[in-house]
Amino acid sequence: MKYYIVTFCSVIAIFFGIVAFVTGGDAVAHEHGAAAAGVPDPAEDLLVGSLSASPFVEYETSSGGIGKLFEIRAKKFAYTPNIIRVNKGDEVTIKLRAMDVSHGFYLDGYEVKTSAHPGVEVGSLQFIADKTGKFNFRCSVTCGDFHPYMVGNLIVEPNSRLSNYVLLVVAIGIVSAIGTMKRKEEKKENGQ
Amino acid sequence: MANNKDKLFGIIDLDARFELTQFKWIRALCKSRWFYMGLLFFNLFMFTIILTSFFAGGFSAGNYNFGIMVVWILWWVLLMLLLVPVFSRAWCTMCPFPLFSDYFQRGKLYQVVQGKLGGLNLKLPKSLQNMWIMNILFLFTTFFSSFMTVRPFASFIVIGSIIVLAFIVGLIFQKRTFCLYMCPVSGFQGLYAQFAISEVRCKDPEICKNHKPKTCFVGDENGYGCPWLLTPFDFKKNTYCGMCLECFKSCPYDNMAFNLRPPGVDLLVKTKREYRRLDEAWKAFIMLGIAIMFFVTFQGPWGALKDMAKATTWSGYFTFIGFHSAVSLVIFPAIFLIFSLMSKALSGNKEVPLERVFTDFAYTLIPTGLGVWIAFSIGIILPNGSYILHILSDPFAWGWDLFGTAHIAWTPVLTLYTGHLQGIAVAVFFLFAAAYGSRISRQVYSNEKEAKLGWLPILVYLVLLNVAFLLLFLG
Repeated sequence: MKYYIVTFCSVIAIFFGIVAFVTGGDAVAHEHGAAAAGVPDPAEDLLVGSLSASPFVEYETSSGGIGKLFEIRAKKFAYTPNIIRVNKGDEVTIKLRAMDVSHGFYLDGYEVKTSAHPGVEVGSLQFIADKTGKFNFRCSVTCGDFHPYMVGNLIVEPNSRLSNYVLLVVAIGIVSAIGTMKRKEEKKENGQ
Repeated sequence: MANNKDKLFGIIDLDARFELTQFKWIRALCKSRWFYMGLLFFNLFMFTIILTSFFAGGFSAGNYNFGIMVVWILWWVLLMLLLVPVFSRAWCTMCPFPLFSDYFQRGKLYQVVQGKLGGLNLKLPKSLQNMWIMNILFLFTTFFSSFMTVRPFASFIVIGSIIVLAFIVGLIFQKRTFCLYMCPVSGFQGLYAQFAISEVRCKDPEICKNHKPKTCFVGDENGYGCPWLLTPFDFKKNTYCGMCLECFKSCPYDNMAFNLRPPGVDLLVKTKREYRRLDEAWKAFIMLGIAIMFFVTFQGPWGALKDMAKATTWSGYFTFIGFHSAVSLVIFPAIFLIFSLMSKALSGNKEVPLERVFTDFAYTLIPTGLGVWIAFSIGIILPNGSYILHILSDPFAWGWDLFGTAHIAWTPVLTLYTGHLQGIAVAVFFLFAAAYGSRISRQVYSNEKEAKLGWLPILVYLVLLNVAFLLLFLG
């Protein structure tokens, strides 16, 4: 019994030791980010008031239509808002504000990108949301260890990709159920 | 076993095989020890660079580290997209980790040594001769995924530990005990290899029946007895065949074959020696649980989850690994148990044990799981693949430009199609899950009516599961 207790405690101790060791670098990374976050941002009041009630503000486009402007704040290792929804055909403007270190914004599928630097530059880009579905936007400026995982979602409605594949899976299920039943009936007929 | 006239989707004969080793040069490769050693030494060389790069290859971010990119992006994606679905456990053929213990046991690197092997040569206790150790070890390894996929030294610890463990186990236990029962990578390969479109099998069972002694098992001057402790003359499933190709060398009748076959035929294999098992079923649940947790953590937009996974706070980290474990070990199996209960109830069969219903139908999660992991891998490689070009030219971050690609900018490719490819992967593999599931139902229940009714709840479960994954990937 004593042996098992010692073994168990040793395993737990090794586990904590490894975790503490490999997470030890965090302090340095956060320190750097915290220092950068203190730098005054010349665009500090950009949209802040108008964004409090809605994730975007509408504006009139050059063609007289309505565009949607999102201010996205980037901070290790997430965007706020992290999911933005627009409709197909919307003109979308993104203002990217880096809150700690330099961050980027690359939109999958649309292949547009911008970057922002805290206290220096607010990133900006514009595109027409002419492709429907879910698209990741991801950081394009190496910003730290979790940089490859810094992801947000743009969902362009109607999300026909999702509904089409869901329908496909449901259809496969139904066909499989019917096929199974039919095959067995055929077997019965053959057997008769 | 499937009957001879059974055709998948009405067109694919489940008994169809195409023997690749009928081509002399392929058989020569399988019989060549140089070919095998060449693969091993190539990967030994690669792992030497990988381990070195973990120390000297840049510490700022994993995406510019050779080892991180080769192991966690290139290798993982190759494994899930190509090696396992097509070549079964071909990675085990070329994995260099057991090379040191093999050398210790045999005393020779190239020549075949007959007789007792070195080391203690102990047998693993019967109760541990299953996938449970691998299940736990693999799940445990994923607790560190948020460190080892971004921090080179964390990867060094994990991979280094596996190499050392493989060696130590080789000193104590017989042959490839580590690969067979302990390697974290082995379990899921074995599980999904059942779906692979290739296999190593004996050609003519009659030749094997009359051949004594069974040199594929005990070895001869040309080859070792199966290092994976299998009986190559009669095994029917890919799960535990490490494709080391020793049986090609030790068979005096050239009676071993490397075949192409319809995907997933192993799912219907149910013999006295190779039956469906709870440990393998749990592996299927664990793999699905890990897929969900990995996706929401690493490909999802939720920063709070990333903070938990990277241990920004201890409480967050332990909440993460606790939930991660619960999803894989408890929640997934519990939901499946409910549908298994419904299956048994609806079938009207009171004799069949619930454990059998649960275990047998869990094998329908193998195609689904593989499809989900392929979808997950597509989401990794398309946006991040271009990093590989950079690190190949400058593996140690020393400013080299070996292939002229060191300065290629990060360039996601085909990301417009990511969702489509993921949707197709999920749907296609669900098609196979449904096709095999209805056949498994016939094996579970005693008559057609029971099989038909008992299959419906499981089919509903599979539809819901696949829709849930579509929501994750595309919603």
